[in-house]
Amino acid sequence: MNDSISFQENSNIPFEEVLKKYQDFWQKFYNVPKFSPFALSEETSNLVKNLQDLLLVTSKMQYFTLNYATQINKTYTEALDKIPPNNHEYSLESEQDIKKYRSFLLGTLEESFTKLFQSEAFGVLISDLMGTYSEYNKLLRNISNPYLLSLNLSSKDDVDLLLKDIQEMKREVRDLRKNIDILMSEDKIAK
Amino acid sequence: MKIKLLNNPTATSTKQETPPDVPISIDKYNHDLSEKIDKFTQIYQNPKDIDVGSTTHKIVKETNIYRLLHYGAIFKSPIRTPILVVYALINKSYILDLQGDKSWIKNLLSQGFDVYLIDWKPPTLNDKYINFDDYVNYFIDDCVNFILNQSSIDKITLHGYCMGATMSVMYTTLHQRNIKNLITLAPVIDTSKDHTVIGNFGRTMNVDKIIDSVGNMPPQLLRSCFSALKPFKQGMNKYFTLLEHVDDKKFVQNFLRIEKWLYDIPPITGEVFKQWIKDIYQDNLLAKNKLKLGSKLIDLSKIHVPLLNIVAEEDHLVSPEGSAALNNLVSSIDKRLMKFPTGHVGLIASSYSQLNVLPRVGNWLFSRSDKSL
Repeated sequence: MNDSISFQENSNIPFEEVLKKYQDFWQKFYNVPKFSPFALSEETSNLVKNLQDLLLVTSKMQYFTLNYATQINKTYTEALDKIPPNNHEYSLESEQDIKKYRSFLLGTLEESFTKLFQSEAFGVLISDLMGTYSEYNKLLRNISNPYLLSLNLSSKDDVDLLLKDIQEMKREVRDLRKNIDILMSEDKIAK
Repeated sequence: MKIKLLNNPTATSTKQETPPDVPISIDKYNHDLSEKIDKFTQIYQNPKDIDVGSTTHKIVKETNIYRLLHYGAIFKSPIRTPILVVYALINKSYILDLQGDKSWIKNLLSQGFDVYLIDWKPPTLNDKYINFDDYVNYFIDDCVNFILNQSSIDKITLHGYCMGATMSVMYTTLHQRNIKNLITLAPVIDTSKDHTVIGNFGRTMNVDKIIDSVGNMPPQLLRSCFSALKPFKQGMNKYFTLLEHVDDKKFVQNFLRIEKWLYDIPPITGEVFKQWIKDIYQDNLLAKNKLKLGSKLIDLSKIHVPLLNIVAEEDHLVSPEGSAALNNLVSSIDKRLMKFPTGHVGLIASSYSQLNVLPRVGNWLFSRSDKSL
């Protein structure tokens, strides 16, 4: 986790500890013997595993979303601190004054937020946030796949393979067409 | 002097030395503002048809990936070398023909050039494995060959904007025999020199994970990245400016056209987005001459055709330093770098570009194009 974006700002328990607790708790269910009369079927244990992962990813999403909100709020507050407080002299008596003040306000906010958005730490946070949303989608897919198969429907992975093959075949057809065109034009020249 | 908003028109100013030129009451200001906001909301809730891309054109070739547009000549011109404009895969190509008085395409036509434009269609999930190799070596190549056959000439001017400029550069390295001149507008080339917000997001993005989950890069994610570019000075301030000019019909129409374009974001195919982020932003392979399209290496030093590279000094989307690097990487003897004090969109769709950029582009290109006797 990044030092500058600390979960401690949002909670007293470090995030890694929360994750470990989740994992330890669900591991017990996942490790139920598969060969006893009380065994969970493979499908069920996979489902339990996926649900466990889903919980972990949801916690991660919450963590990164909170950090994102914290960073945005912090930057916003810091930017506003740079604006002269009420007891300072700042006139707002004409439309021109209001425009000037607005320009100053937006300029200050812009500077602070651009600095944040250009920082590597924020880039990593955005990547983590998008990454966990992707993980979440993938897990939902893993959970739905067995049901799709039982309904004799293709899973996303099956469709992906098909699309990849089609794309490859399109390239081959295009290459063949180009070669035929070249051969035909050479043939015309020869005649 | 203190912050003081006047509650009535007769209240006295605390700013004694230099009284404001137009004193207003906060009540009147609020009243006017409220009226303007009502008008603004009406415009946004009931936008009338926003006309874009109005310059006369014919669709001369169409596939499920692109449309090739041919613009009708305004007058009989001696210039024989046609221009093929390669638009980016981000947003839509009508920004180049947004409205009559700010149309990049129309201006080129008025200078006597024969103009074609590749208008990319939004990819579907079935297209997610289409990569740069397909775009450059098949789709652009098909368009170039089509124009060569139609025009009975052997070379064209290739002219790209933003990501389209990068693809034009890639194409020129591999198919130079078809290219007479190369004109690039804000190309993404050397990302090690890129200090923009987009560059930062690109360098840290786990693109494999995202694309594996979503297939194509969805407009929503692209929009959220773009919203981090100048979020206040442009993102917010433009609405204040609109409020100020809400009664000016021409201004409102112009504003809505740009707004339509800004939010008209198609998805980008998953494979292209992966290559764009990993190969170009993270590994900087294009500038290192190590980028591969299929089995073909993109070696920029192989480019020797006349090059005009145009960059916007205030471009916050594509770093001008990263774009300008192209001139040092090609082998062309006839090469020119033009810098203009404007932004990424201002470079192509503004009164400024009509007055300052396009005449110079036209002059440069006229002397390097074939003419009929």
